[in-house]
Amino acid sequence: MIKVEGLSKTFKGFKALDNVSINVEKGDIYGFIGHNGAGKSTTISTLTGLAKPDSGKCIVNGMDVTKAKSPDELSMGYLPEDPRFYKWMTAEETLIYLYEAAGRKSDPGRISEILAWVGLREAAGRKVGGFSRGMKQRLGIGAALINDPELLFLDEPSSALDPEGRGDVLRLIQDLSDMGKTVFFSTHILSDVERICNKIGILVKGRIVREAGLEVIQKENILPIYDIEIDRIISRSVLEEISSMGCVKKAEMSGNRLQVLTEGNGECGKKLFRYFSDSELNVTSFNLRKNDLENIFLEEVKKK
Amino acid sequence: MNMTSTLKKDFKDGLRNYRFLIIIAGFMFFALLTPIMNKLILPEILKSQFPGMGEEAMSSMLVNTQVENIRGYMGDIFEIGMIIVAFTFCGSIAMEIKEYTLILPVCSGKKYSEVILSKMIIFGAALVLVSIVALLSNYLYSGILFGFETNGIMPILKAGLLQGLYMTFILSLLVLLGTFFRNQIVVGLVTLVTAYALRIVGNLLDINAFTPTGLLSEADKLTAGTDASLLITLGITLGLIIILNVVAVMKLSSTDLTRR
Repeated sequence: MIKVEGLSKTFKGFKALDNVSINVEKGDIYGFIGHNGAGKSTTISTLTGLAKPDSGKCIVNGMDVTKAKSPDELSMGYLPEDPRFYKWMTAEETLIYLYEAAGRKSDPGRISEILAWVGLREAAGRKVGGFSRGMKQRLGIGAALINDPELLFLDEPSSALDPEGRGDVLRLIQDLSDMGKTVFFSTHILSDVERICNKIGILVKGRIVREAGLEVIQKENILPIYDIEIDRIISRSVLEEISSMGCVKKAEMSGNRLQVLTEGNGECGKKLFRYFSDSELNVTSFNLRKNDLENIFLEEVKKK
Repeated sequence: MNMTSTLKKDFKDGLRNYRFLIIIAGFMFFALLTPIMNKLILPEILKSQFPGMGEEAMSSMLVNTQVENIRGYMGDIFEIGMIIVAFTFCGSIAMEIKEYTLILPVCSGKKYSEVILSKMIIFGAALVLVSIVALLSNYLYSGILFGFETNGIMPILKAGLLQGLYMTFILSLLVLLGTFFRNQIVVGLVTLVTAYALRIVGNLLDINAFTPTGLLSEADKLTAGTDASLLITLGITLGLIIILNVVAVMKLSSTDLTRR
């Protein structure tokens, strides 16, 4: 759906994008993550045809972005970071206006369907100027869907929202994916990416430093630490026995919780599991700790 | 190109943001106030300022005819009415770029040419209509107060149409400058400076017939006929409006609408 190679863009001597390459397959929810100012919005502006790249190849929906005469030729939907509407229009009028923008006659059924889907049916007749940020964001998602595109660019759709608003927006994005849409979603809220994305690209200072499936990245970043919980306070003798295992580097306890740093191969996990199954201790939880996306992101930033 | 939705949107914009109301109120205010000022208020002011002044001397200082009233009104419209027009429509494109309201329509399929053309049609038509109606009102009111003079209403309709066309030229300047400057006050000021400068240069070099300002000079004559010089002025004005609009579309097409 999206194939970007060597995309670069400079603003007044500042290199906003430096040789960016991105690959998004049909059906992906692609999490595009980076600090504020890393170049996420610039990338999206370029991919939506609203800004011209200095160099590089950008294919969106099979079309070269630089050859599109106007953004609508790319057959995509776009939600800007801060979607702006005519404040004096109602939500319904806004969607009708955008629907008719492509030269079609208004379809009340389609407008009503979108309003209901984004949860704005009750507010359809209210002027957009009186909407909360969350409502504007949901109307923006509705507006991005107006032409029923297969591909959607959502620029920081949940960043400025309260937890409830964020939850609503993330649910809508997940629904879009369930409908078979491809979503390119930029954010700096990493927990949102972990919740809904299947692939991520990390952008640092205008450069892609990592791009892979979320599961692949998480597997690569598994820490050799086991978090074990049992149903009672752990005795010192248990801690000593575990510490004495050859593959265990360090073991710490806190109440009924045990943290075991191992040498890193799976064998130690088996040994630990065997130890507890042979003992009289009731294990309530046994987990290999995963590095969360925030740590992975910070490590990638540090490398740069 | 199906422009119906854009035309509807700009019409609603004019109504809901009181653009039409401001223009109507501004033009009608001068149309109705000028005769009242000349008939009732100015003589009283002169009497109080110069108590010993004779009737004849005072009469020479006052506007006493319908035609003088109409010309006075048209002068007011050039000087002050244009300021109202400039600051009512200065944001028609500049604000759309500054407020990023063009992004979603453009992504949904709206063409830049459609955006510009629709504003020119709706706001231009409003300016022409208001110019004609206000001038007709001035004609009727000053006729009632001073007696009717002109040869029917045809010269008035023609003068109103020319004035409206001149205002449409001002509108096209506002639209073009709006694609260059995001600050609407700057757009309004630059437009006014350009319009006044055009008039001054036109008067100094006696080339008004070759600039849109010539429309106002022709309107001032209050005649019903059309001569070759008016056709030249009309042609130049319409040509300039088209050129300004084409440049505005080109500039808008190359503008990064997402730039902060």
